[in-house]
Amino acid sequence: MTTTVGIKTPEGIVLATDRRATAGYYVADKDVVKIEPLDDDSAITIAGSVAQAQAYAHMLRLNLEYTKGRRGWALAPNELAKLAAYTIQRSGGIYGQFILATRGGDGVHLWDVGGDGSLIQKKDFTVTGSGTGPAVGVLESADWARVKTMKDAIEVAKRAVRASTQRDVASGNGFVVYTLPNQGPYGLKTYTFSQEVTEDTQEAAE
Amino acid sequence: MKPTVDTAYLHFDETGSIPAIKFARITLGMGLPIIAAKDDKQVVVATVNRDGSPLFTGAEKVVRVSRDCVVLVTGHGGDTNQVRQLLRDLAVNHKFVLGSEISPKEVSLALSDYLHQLGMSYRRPLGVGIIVAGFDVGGREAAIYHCDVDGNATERNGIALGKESSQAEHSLSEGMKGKGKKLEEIVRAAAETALKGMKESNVDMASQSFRVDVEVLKPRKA
Repeated sequence: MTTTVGIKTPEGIVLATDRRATAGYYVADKDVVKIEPLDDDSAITIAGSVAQAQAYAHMLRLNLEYTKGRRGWALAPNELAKLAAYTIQRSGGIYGQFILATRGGDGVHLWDVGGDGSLIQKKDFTVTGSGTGPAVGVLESADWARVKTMKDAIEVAKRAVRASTQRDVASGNGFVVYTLPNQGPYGLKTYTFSQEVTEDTQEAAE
Repeated sequence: MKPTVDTAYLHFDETGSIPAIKFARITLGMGLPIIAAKDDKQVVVATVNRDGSPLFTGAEKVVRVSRDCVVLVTGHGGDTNQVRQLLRDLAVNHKFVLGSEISPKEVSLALSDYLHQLGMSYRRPLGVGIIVAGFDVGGREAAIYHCDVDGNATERNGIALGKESSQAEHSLSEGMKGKGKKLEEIVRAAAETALKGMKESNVDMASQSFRVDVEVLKPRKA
């Protein structure tokens, strides 16, 4: 599984994930991007079965394109969220959990889409994946009164994902962050956690 | 032995048209008039209905599909019922999957797909005139579509279908060319023109009572 974090701020939405892909106890990939931009105004995080999640994200992307082409205007945020949940529910469920970020005329929206097809709109933050425990601990203890900007939210998300990589075997190797401001283009950046080797005895002596 | 079924009327003839479509247009031309027109701020729809009988209320010609969309149907009674059922299915399905109000554009596309599919699967066309009216793009942009029996959907600023529709369209066209008149008055005048034509051209109609119903549709507030 994975650690994915979504945070809503007055400036916009921040999504963040780790970069590890596992196959059983094997780390299959160390620089995976688990955030899929769907169009210029929406993106979804992936946690769980990669094959199912990738196909699901692809289906949503095609639906966005198809609907815009057919009727002439894009799916509204609530339409995309409803479609995202309905598709899973109708398919009988997906082995995965998803965080959806959308943007429309009425601003940005953060959604938690469950693997059973449930849909919950979030006002502040949400976490999914096997690393939820450590990450949500960091987020619950954050000083939210001081998290006003997306830059603040990225720092909190970084701490949350880093915490999960310390205690969850299925999360690790780095950090991917996606930003969806209230206006303007989205951003997608990747970070690698450093793997410096330090000697314990020297550290203890200090 | 199974009787042979002649489906020639569903194919193109030597004149390049499909006889079944021609017959369907004749059928819808026998329906009571339905009229719609739009400007930037509103959509006005009108229907001519039977009146004056304590026993007969007339068929439902204006179908409210969603908050943003109404559909006007006229023509063969059974076929109009089929359209109403289709519209209910469409509206419920759209609301269930996307959680939003279905728009006129989406309704017109779905209806046209269905009407075209009939001809492609050896079924007769529906003898109905369909006008889809309302507001696209989240209930903000006025829109009117004509769904023809051949499966073609076209966007219109004004349209009349049913009995004496050519007279009604002429009245509508003249009214919309001029300035100063309210759209509601123009549409009502077009419906009255169609009604007058009906009574003048048919003795049975002349002895019956009709009324013109007009509805003004407004966009959603931003």
